Amino acid sequence: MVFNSFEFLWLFPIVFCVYYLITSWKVVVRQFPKIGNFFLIAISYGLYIKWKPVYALILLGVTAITYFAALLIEKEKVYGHKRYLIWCGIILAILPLAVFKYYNFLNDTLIALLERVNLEVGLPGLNWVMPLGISFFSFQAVGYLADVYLQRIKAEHDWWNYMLFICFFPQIASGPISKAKDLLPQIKSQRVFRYEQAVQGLKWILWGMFLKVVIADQLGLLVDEVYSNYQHFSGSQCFGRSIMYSFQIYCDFAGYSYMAVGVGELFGFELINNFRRPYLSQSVTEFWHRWHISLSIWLKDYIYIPLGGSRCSVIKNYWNILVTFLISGLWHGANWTFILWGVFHGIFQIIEKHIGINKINSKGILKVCRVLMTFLVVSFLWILFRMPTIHDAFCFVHKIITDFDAHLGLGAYIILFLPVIAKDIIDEFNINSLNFFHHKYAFVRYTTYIVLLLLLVMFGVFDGSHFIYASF
Amino acid sequence: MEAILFMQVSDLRKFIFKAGSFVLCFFLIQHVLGMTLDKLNELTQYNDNGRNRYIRDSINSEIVLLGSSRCYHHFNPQVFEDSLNLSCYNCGERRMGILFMYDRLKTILKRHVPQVVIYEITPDYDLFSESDNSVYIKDLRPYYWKDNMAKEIIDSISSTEKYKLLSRLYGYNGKVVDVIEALFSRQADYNKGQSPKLGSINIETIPSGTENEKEYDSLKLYYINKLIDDCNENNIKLVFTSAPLLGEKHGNVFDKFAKLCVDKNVPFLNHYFDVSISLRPSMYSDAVHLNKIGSDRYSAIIASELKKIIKDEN
Repeated sequence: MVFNSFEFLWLFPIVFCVYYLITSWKVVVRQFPKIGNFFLIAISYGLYIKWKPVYALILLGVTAITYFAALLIEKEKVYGHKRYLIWCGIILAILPLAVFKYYNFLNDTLIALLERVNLEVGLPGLNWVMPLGISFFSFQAVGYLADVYLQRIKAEHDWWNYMLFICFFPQIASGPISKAKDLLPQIKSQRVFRYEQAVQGLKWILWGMFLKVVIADQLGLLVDEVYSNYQHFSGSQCFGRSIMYSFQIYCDFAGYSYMAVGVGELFGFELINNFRRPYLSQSVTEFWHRWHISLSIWLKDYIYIPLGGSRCSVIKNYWNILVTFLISGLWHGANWTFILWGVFHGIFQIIEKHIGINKINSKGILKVCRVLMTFLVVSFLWILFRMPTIHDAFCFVHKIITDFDAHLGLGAYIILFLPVIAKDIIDEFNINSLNFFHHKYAFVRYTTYIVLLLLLVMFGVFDGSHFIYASF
Repeated sequence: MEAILFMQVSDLRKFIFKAGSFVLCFFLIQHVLGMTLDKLNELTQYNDNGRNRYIRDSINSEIVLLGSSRCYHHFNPQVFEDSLNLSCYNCGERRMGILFMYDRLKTILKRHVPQVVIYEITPDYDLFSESDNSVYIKDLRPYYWKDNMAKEIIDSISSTEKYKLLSRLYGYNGKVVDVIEALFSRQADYNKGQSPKLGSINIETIPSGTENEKEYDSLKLYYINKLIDDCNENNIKLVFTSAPLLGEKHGNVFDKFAKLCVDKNVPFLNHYFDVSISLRPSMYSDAVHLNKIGSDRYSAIIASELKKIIKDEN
């Protein structure tokens, strides 16, 4: 169920009402205390099967592999055997992801390399659509397995609880990547409907929808116009559109994440919030503490720290940072542009760490300068993210540098950025009087909701657009 | 447990009641706003909205030019009027194809039957399959409940639009700024509906490509055939054209369409690969649109060919 679809508009209220009808029915709940969870599993798998039936088997397969592997690991006493089991579990869980996402990339790279030495050898390409959310649920499952192995949590013995943990529909398409210690206790507990939590959920959904269909999708139309034909636009216009893309990807992904959090809240779950005003970061290091937070935590806990983290020599630490962000780039896509994007993010963080700037929290005008600098660096790196090839990305940047004048082509389109920038600043500095979503006067709150909904209806792009991060 | 379940039910009732009331209130507000925009839309005379109203309600020219922005920017009606001695109006629309243009023609035919219809074919908008045809219904939405053809086209593209259009305001999705802007600004007169592009493209080398045929969209093909049939029924001389694309020298992009035109006995004046224009950047304002110099030249070529066709038939 795509959150910005018409189907969501009519189907979700039905799902919501049925869920609370059956979980409020005393007779049913006494007989089947877990009826709510079964219902959510049925809905989650139903939606996945509706999208592509056979891929639900992959979801089920990854769930089963990691479930049983965790049980075996917990039962096993010999350390060597535990290591063997964890590696088997990880490889089997990651295998579908590797095949669907990276087979063609590896094949094409191999063919290109062999062609350089005049060898024409290669396997046939795969023309398979990638299973929805495979990068997310695979990482979530592997994270659980690693936590059991490292004895941070106990293995989940209830199959149905674990199944819901992996397949929970609000987060399956584009995250957040939940930790077992956060989500499993909520699945196992008796959740009750709480009015304040449900209202907060609706606010998240409204704001997320606004970011996605009004801001991100409108910006997307403008960005596509130039990025697909950049040779015919000036460097300044290319730069202007790269700024737009920075906001497009933020509003697209944050919009989805907020909607996922909102839907989770409506069912009584507290999912991790993936964004904390990332473009107000003072450094690239801080950016990764505010952008796609769940992925950053996953990479830190399961890649960076196991490699040694910062508890090693300086050179080894820098190496660990580089490897972590190389994997981050690879996770985002099977293309050299994503890998280079990840590597550059790693390099910038290494530089910041070397200078020591990552630990400094500036104030005043220096803070503003650092925020703007970080935004520019991140925006330039997003060019790699957006372009189909490294060559195109470098040509695009070259155009910006060599053909730059004052005419950025932003003009009235700046109005699209303003709501996002304003809300982020209000939240960052806790300016309660301007926080219309949580204003003390009901009139202000309700007016805000109505204005946002009207803007959604008047300006929202509903022409079948997809979430950028859903393609990962 | 009993206490928890009881609390949940009363909280839930309160939530559903408040949410339901809010939705009702919002529905009323958006309905009033939608009605207001309807009235404002009827009042506009200028800008794109005014031009659209003129085409829908008042046009009476003998030659009607239809197509995407490659009609809107390319065809100079004055050139046709001077050459053929018939009044002419450019009804092209940016980013629109046959799915919109067919409704435009049907609306015109309700009041007036032109002698000639010239349709500028743009492969991506008029022939080829795209991921989603919903992009073509933006300008049809305000007329869903008033125009049966608009309703038919919208329903054939999307089965859910009829539910979305229960919202009066949704009919103006993406058009609110146009409606309000038309009340305050006075755009300079179009050149009988045309908006010529000025300036020349700034490129170092002419892009070279071979545009190849892609899969045809069955719905677009259906309405192309309907267009042909309606013109035949009304004794309208229909001619398809295709303007030169920058850098294009050859390709098979129109093979299937050209065969359709032969089968249906409709002239197709294909200048897509006309190197006398396509290899001259000075005639282009961007990669896909001719500037005023190029559009006047192209209009003259088409007018001359059309004149010959009409003369041969007589």
